[in-house]
Amino acid sequence: MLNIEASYFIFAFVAVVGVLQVMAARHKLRGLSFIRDMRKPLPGYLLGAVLIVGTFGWFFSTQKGIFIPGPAGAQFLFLFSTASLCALVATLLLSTLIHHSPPLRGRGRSLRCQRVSFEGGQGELYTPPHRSPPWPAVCIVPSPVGGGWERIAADLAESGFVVLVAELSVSRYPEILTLLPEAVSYLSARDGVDHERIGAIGLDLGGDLTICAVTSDKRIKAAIALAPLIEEESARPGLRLLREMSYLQAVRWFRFLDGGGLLARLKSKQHAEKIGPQPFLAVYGEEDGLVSLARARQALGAAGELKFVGGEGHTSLFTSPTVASMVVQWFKEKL
Amino acid sequence: MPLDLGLFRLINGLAGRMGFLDAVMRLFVNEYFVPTTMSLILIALWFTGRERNQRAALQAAISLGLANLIVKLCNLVYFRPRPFAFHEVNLLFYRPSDSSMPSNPAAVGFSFATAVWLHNRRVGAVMYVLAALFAFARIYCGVHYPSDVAVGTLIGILSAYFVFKSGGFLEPLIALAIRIGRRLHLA
Repeated sequence: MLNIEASYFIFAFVAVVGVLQVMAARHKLRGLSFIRDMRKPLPGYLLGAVLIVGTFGWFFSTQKGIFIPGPAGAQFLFLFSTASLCALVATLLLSTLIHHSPPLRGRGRSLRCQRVSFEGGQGELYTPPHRSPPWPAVCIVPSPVGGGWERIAADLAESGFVVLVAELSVSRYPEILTLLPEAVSYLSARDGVDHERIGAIGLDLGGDLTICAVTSDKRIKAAIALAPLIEEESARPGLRLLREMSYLQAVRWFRFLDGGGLLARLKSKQHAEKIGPQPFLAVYGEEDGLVSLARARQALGAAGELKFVGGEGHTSLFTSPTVASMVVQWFKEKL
Repeated sequence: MPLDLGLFRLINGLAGRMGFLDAVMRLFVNEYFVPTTMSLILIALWFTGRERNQRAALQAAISLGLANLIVKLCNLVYFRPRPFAFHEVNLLFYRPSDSSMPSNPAAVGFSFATAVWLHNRRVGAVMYVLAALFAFARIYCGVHYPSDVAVGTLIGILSAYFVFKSGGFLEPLIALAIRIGRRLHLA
């Protein structure tokens, strides 16, 4: 039989985890939730309620120690605070594990993929499995969140595009600006690639880098930016990041962006005004938790096409099948 | 104080008549149920992501500290024996040995509830109900006089109000806590 202090610690720990699950469901905080599919809050509410009611039921029905002198106020406060802190850390770690998606690459698809190096970077190169060269090519600049590009890369490669996913390994300015032009140089020089039909697509910060590159690099014949951040304001720290990513991803993302400093230096809003004559498409999820859609409309409305996808957030946009097929179709038309 | 004793007898006289009501009061009277429930509500308020709720949670924690301090100071200068020391009571709880006046549970409950109510009326109202039940259960179960609870309630409300009104004095501390929370992506 556990003593009252240990029992209370367990009780408070489980109750706090339950409260966090309810709040994660209520406010769609992916970084706190144990439920993978967060479109409906009910499973999160149920899980939270079961944990809270269960632990209250257990503690108050089994602990006779609550009716004898127990821990003093300070000890009670210490136990509750420690249990809350442990519950928060455990919740953040467990939700990170639950929301970590294994890469899609190669899963059930006959794609040819190889690691490649080019000046100033590295990446993964996918070549179309069924068609003969020359191939159009697309360079993908991913998000610092990591992953998310796999479906788009696979769909493009299966549709006859050579796809180079350039790794975001450098976060320093202005070095980061050379990543996409160097990747395009690599693709232009590669056998089998039709260098008159090279496009670029960037996700999140990668979208901003794409906007910056497309204004000065005319070798890019068409470009898509998926949820570009556009302005420093989009990289504010806070709980809102947990709506879009796990806690560890949020920490890495925020550090990569230098707390918004990188966006301030990139000035993608000013670059967006100069886009053309290449075709350009920007896509946002209607439930984007990081970027103000009104401001995005204002910044990118004149740059090219601007589309909004219902039911998607900032990062869920990247893995959406609707967006992947939209991207493939758009590049087929424009390249 | 005949009124105080009369009221005590009226409320405590209900104990032992209805098993269900006794069970409910025994749940509310202990030092675990209401304080833990209120603390969980504060955590929930924090994770709404709204600054006014986060301020409520922080001010509730500070109010609790202040209310506790005032109760301890009162205990140093004045000791009032518990009702069971001199009267026949229906005792549904253990026999606390500290001073009956002022009621610390009432001070705790009402400091929490007032701090929240000053920022969020709806949640504050729920917390007032919990605080009132906590205080009532202490009389029902025979461990406090109504006047103990009244003074504890006053201490709790005034502590929270003082913390709320002393914006300039505590503001840097509260702003710093929220800023650190934001920086850690937890506020």
